[in-house]
Amino acid sequence: MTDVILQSIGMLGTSMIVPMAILGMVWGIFGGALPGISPSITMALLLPLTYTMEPISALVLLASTYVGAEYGGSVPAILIRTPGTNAAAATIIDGYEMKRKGRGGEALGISLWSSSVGNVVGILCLILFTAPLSQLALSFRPTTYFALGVLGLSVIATVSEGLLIKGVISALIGLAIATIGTDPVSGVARFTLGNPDLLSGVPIILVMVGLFAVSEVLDQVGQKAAWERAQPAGSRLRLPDWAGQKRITKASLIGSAIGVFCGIMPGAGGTVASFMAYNEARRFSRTPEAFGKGSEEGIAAPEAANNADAGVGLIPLLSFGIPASNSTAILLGGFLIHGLIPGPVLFDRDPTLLYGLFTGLIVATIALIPAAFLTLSVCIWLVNRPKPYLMAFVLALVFTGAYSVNFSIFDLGFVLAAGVLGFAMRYFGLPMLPTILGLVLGYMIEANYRRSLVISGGDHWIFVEDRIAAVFLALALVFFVGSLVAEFRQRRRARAEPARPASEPREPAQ
Amino acid sequence: MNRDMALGLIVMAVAGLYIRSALAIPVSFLGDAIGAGGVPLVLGWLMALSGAGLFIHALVARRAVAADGSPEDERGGAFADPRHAVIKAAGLILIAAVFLFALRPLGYVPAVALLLAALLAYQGVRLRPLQLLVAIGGALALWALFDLGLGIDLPDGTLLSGLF
Repeated sequence: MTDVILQSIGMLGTSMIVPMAILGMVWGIFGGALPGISPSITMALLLPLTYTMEPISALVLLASTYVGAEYGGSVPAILIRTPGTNAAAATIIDGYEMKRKGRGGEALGISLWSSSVGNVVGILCLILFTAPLSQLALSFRPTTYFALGVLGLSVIATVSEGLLIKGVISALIGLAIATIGTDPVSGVARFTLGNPDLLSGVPIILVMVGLFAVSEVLDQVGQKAAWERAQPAGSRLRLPDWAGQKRITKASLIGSAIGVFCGIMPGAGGTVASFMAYNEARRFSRTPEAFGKGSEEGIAAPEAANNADAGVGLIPLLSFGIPASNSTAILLGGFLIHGLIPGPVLFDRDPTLLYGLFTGLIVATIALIPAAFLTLSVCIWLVNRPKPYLMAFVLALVFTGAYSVNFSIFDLGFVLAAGVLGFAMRYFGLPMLPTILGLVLGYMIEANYRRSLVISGGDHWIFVEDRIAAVFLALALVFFVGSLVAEFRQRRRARAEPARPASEPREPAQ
Repeated sequence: MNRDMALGLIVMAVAGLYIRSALAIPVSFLGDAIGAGGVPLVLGWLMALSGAGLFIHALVARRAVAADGSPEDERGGAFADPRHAVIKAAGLILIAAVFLFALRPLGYVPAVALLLAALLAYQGVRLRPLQLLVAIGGALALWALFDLGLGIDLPDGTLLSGLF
């Protein structure tokens, strides 16, 4: 272990880790700062470009982008009351209030400081927990992998926004697309329509780029509202002084702890983490009445939470090969594009790659503060660009990047088709992540299910005999039934509400 | 019919087509007990059941809402003006499709410049010389980044070959 860590540190001087970490961080801040461009889209735009890079450079670039975007999202949230990312929505409440009172620079500084605290906590957890969990995964058998895939998919499908049945439909869409190509056991071609390009399956990377980036452009073009303009005046970034840091320490730590908790829970994500952190910071604050009126703690807690969540969110991907969010699904694409499958085998065979990734994330965390100072004026300039220009260039960049993967115009058709599917899913309120996860895990689930049955001679009891698999499958069932019950109760409550007499007071909105 | 009911019907129709195609997958002598079509069949039936479930759920919810006399809830609708959003998206898809067909004959720079100009105009930006310059400059910048910078061989164009 020590050798590997020393090797990883040695890579700082010989590989492209440092420049890629800084580049990714800066790109992430820009992407996060642009309303409508989420961290996953920011990463998706880079994904095809990483094809020609060394694997370690590509992974550091993508992971640093993810971390940078989480901070970048707070810039427009504070300056123009529009969150750059969903996770920055909670930052608006007090961030914009501070900006209105002429303390925009301080608000940005608090966001930057607490984002850094969250990053450090998240990356520490990532380094501490990834290796032991991946060691545990080394003992997994085909039955366990099948059960793990089912568990991952059911958790994401059940915790996704909207109706449970829509999450299930979304997962089934992904699983169905994953069956296109050559059958993993017999080698028979399935659903290829005689097209040899489809024999190796649907290109997951291109589908991800289309689903996230193209569908976003299609969505944004149809929205009539323009963004507010950010004023550079009063927006000079100011880090909190010693007393200021002391004032927000508790909130930053609460936010970080909640970010870690939500990062471990698949599907919870940075948005849930930041709102939970906001509420808990208010509960434990000495000045809860200041929340909503420009509280420093009201910025620190959600920003620390969404950054800690980003680091910890990488654990399921690196330990088990299962992405827990849109952004980690794109990072998975970064592995796949280089023929690597994250998980215990990769960790065992090439630990330098993963420790190099950790090193890159540490570099990115250190680079965050100077990068934020240097990029703020560019961020304000970008936020003020008219939306039509941004959307036009995003689409051109997506097509150029997608072409560069296989030099194929046919691939661009794939990207466009995936974009249309993504737009249709948005239109019907279907969550996107279960589809991506179904697509990514489809092969693993089917191949391991059938391999297990070949081993047992067709006896399904093999899934119960493997204790870990049985626990995973039982958990999947618990999640599914629990979500069904929770949804049923929620609907019954919602139906009962209008029947209340008008005189009866309602609970105040939180 | 509301959006969820329409989605339920679409999912059932897609599931029907998927099941039909799954039934047509040939059986291999190398196959296992499940066979190449086994998992797709299970997925198809689950999809059909989910679609039916969503349709029935939406129908029941609609009746309940109608009985209450409250306005219908368009669950999951992320668009303020769905009709406008769909029409705008359809137009953009058409522009993108034309770009894909034009890319090989025109070559990268002219095709991307036209794509950028068309997208700007489509979003309501008046095309003055400055905007055209942005489109051409943008295409050249992307070409320089990918072709010169990253060494990616972008289409030269069969009509204007040799220029770029």
